[in-house]
Amino acid sequence: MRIARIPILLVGAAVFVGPVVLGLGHLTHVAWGMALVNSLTIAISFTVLSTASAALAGFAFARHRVWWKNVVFLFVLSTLMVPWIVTMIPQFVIFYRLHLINTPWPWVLWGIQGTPLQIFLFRQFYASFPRELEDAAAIDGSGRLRIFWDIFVPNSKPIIAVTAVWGFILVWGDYLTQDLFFLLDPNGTLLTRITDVLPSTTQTFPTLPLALYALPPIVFFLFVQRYITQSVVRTGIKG
Amino acid sequence: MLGRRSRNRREVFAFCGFISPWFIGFVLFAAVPLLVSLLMSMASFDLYGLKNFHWIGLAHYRLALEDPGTREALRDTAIFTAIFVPLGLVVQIGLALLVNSGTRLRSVFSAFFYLPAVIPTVVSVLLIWRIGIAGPNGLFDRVYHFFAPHGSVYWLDSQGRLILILFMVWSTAGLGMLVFLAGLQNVSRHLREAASLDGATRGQIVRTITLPLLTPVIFVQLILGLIAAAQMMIQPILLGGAVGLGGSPFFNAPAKGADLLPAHIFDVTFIGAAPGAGAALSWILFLIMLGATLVLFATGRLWVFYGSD
Amino acid sequence: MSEIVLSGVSKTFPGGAKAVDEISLTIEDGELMVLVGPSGCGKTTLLRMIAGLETVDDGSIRLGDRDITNLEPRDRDIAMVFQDYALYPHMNVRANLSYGLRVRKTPKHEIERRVDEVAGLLGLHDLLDRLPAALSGGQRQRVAMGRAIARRPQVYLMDEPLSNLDAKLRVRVRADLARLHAQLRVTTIYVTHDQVEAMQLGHRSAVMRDGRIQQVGRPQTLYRDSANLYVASFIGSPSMNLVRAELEREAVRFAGYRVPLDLRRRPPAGSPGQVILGIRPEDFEDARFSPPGLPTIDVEISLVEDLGPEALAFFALDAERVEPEIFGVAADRRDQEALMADDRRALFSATLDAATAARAGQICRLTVNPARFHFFSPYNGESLLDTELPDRLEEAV
Repeated sequence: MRIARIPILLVGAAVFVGPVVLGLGHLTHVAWGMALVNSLTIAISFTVLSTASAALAGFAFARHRVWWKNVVFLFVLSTLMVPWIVTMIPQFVIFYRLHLINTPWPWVLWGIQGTPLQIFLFRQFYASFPRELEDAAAIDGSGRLRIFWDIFVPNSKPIIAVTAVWGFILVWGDYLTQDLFFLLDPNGTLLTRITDVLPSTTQTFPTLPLALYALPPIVFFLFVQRYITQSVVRTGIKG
Repeated sequence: MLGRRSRNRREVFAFCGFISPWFIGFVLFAAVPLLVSLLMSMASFDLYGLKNFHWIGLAHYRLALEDPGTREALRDTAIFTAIFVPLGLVVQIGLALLVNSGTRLRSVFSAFFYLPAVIPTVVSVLLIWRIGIAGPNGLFDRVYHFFAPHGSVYWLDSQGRLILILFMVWSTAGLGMLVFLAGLQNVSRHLREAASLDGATRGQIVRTITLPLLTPVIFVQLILGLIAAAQMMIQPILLGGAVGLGGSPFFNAPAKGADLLPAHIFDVTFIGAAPGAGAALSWILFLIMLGATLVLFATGRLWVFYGSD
Repeated sequence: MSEIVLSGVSKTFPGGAKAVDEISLTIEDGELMVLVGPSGCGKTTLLRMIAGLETVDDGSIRLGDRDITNLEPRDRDIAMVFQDYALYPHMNVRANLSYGLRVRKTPKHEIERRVDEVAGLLGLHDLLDRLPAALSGGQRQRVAMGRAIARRPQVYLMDEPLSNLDAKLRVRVRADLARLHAQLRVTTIYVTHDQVEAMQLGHRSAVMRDGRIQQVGRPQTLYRDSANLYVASFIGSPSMNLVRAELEREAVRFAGYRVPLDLRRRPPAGSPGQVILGIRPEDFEDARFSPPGLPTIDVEISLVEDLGPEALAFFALDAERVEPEIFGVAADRRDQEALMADDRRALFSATLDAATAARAGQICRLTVNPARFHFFSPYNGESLLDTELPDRLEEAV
C-alpha cells in the first residue's frame, strides 16, 4: 500500500535537517544541536504516530457496528482521569528495566497508543460522515481498512491538523516527562537544557536555544492553522 | 444463519484490529502501571536504585491521612479548584460571548486569546509570569507601587494561590473559549432574535436562552477543568516562592496556599524520596477525582439540557 | 392605530447589491399584507427590518404615531413567527407561550389568563407541559403563533410560516390563519414565495423583485390587471401565455389570428402598435362549452393532460416564442418549452373543461375572452392598459 508517504517525508526531513542544525550548533555549544535533535525526534515521532493511531481508533469507535464499543470507549476516556503521576513512576521503572531510558522510544510507544483526547476528536468527526459514503464503497467491494484509507482519511485534513498540532505541542512543552526520562543523558532535550539554564539567568539570556525552541511550533502552527478554525466549529460539541 | 455469524465476527475482528495500537498501549502503559502503582503504594522502597523493598500494607495510606502536610495539600487543592474552575468557566464563556458578537475582528481576537494555550507551560511560567509579571519589578509590582508607593508584596510568596489561579485561568481561557465558541454556533440565531422581539434585554437573553442551551458544553468543560486541576503538578512548583538549590527549578517549594496535591505528591516522591508514600497519595487523589466525576455525572442529569434542535 | 408606513426604506448589502431598494408602502390598520416574490427578492430582509433585526440604511418606518426605524426589537411591540418557529427548546409549551410576558414582568395572574386564552384559541391545552422536541410540525407551528398572540402586540410578522408543513396540512392551516386574522384583527405582514398563498390569504399583496415592489393590490387586481410582465407571469398557475402581437384599432393580430378587442379593455389610442399580448390559460375554453358570442381561434393541439377536474391542453402558435427572461420575467414558468426544445414557436397552455374533445394532433376550436387580455410594452414590460390601481383598501374587511 502506498501508505507511508507522509511519515517517510517527515522522517526524511528530520534526518536531513538534523545534521544541518548540528552544524549550526557548533557555533555556540555542540550540545544544543543534539538537544534539538532529541526534541524534534520525540515530538515528530509522537505526533505522527499518535495522529495515525487516534485516526484508526476514532474511526473504529465511530463507524464499527460492535455493540460493546461504547464500553471500551469509556475505558479510553477514563484514562484521562488518571493523574499522570500515578502511572509515571511505574512506567519509568518499566522503561528502565527495558533499557529504554534516554532514548526516544518511550515517545514512540506512547505515540502508538495515542491519547484519549485525540481519539475523542476523531470519533466525533468521523461520526458525522454520512452513511452513504461507506455503503457505496462497501458495495464496490472495499474492506474496512480500504474504506478508511480511501474515503475517510482524505477528508480528514482539518482534524488531522488539529490533532497533530495538539500532539506536537503536548510533547514539545512537556518538561517533566522529558526531564525524567532523559535523566542521565547529558544532552537532554532542548527544553530541559533551556530550563536548566533559565532561573539563574539575569545577564546571559540563552537566545539561540530559545529561538530554536520557539521556532518549530510556530512554523507548524502557522502552516496548519487555516485547517484548525474550520475544524473546531465542525466537531459540533453537543455534550 | 451462518452467514450473519461470520459477518459479525469479521466486524468484531476488524474493530479490534483498528483499536489494537491504542489497546496495546493501554495495557502496557495504563493498566499495568496502574496496578504496579497500587502495589507500590503498599510497599516501601528506595527511589534511587529501587532497592530495599518491604511490604507494608496500608500503612502509607494511614500515615498520609494523618500527616498535616497532606491535609494542607488537600485543603489547598480544594480551595484552588473551587475558585479556579468556576472562574475559568466564567472567563471562557465571557470571552466566547464577546468574540461571538463582534464581527470581522473576531478571528484576530480569538487568536490573541488562544496564544497562551499554545505556549508550553514551562516557558510561560518561568519567563512570563515569574519574571515578567509577578516577580520583582514585574507588572504587578509596578501597578501596586502606583497605588501604594511604600508597601511591597512578594507576590510569589505571599499571594501564591492568587498567582496560581490567575496563571491557570490565563493559560486555559483560550482553549475553553474556542470550545464555547463552537457551542455557541449551535445556539440558533433565531432563538436569540425571537427572544429579543419578545422583549428580553441582552442580559436576559444570555441568562434565559444562551446559557441554558450551553449547559452540555459547560458540563464537559467542568469535568475537564476538574481533570486539569488534578494534574497540576509542575505549575505550583515552578511558580513557587523561594528560588531553590542548584539550577533546576524543581527544588522550589510551592508557595503557601498553593501546595496542590499533585505537587505535594511530586515533593514526597522525588524530594522526600518516598515513592511508596507518593504512590499511596496518588491513589488517594485518583479516588477523589473519580468520586467527584461520578457526582458531577449524577447531578448533571438535573441541570444539563440535551437534544436542543 | 397600528398602521405601518414605510417611506423610502433601503438597505444595501456589503458589496453594493441592494437588498431593499427604496420601498414605500402603507399597511392599513388591521390589514393582512402579503409580501410575495422569489427567493432573494428582499421580502424577508424587509420583514426583518420592520422587526428591527436588520438595520435600515435609508428611509423610515412608522408604526402608528411612532417612528420605530431605529428602535431595538424589544421596544417595537411587534411579534414574529419565524420560518423554523424558533421555539425555545429547553422550555415547555407553557413557558414558551409566556416568555414574552415573563420577561416584561407581567403579573402572574395575567400571564396565566393569557396563556389559557391562547391555548384555548389554538387547541394547545393538552400540550402545555410538553417540550418542543415532543411536538409535531403542525403543533410547533401553533405554539409559535400562540407565542406571538399571547403578547398582544400591535403587529404580527410572519416569515413563511407554512413552508415547513406538508401540503395537506398547509391548506388547512392557511384557512385557519385567515380565520384567526379575521377574528383578531391585528395588522399582519406575511412573507411567502408561494403566490397561491398570497392570492388566498392577503387582503392585499405586494409582489417584490430585486428589492423593489412591482405591484401592490388586492389579489383580483394583481390577477386581472397585472402591472407588468413580471407580476403577470408570477401570479397565476399555469403562467400566463405571452406572444408578440400587433394592435389595430379594433382588433389584435397575432400568429395569424385576428381577434376583435373588447373596447373597454385596450391600450389607449396612440399606443405603439407592437405589443406583447398576454392571455391566461384559464381564459381559453373549448368552444363547445363556452357561452356564445366569444371570438374563437382554431388551434392544433400538441398535448392534452388530464388533471381530473379540468384538462390542460398545449398548442403551438405560428409566432416566435417570447423568452421568459425578457424583462426578468419570473422564470418559474412550467417547463413547457422543454417538451419541444427544438421548436422555436410559442407554446400556449389552456385549461379546458374536463369533457373536452381536444386530442393531440387534432384541430380544436377554442374561445378567447378579450375582456381579460393583457397588453405589455415590448420595450419595458409595463402594462399598456390604463387601469386605475387602487392602493388603499376600498371597503372594510
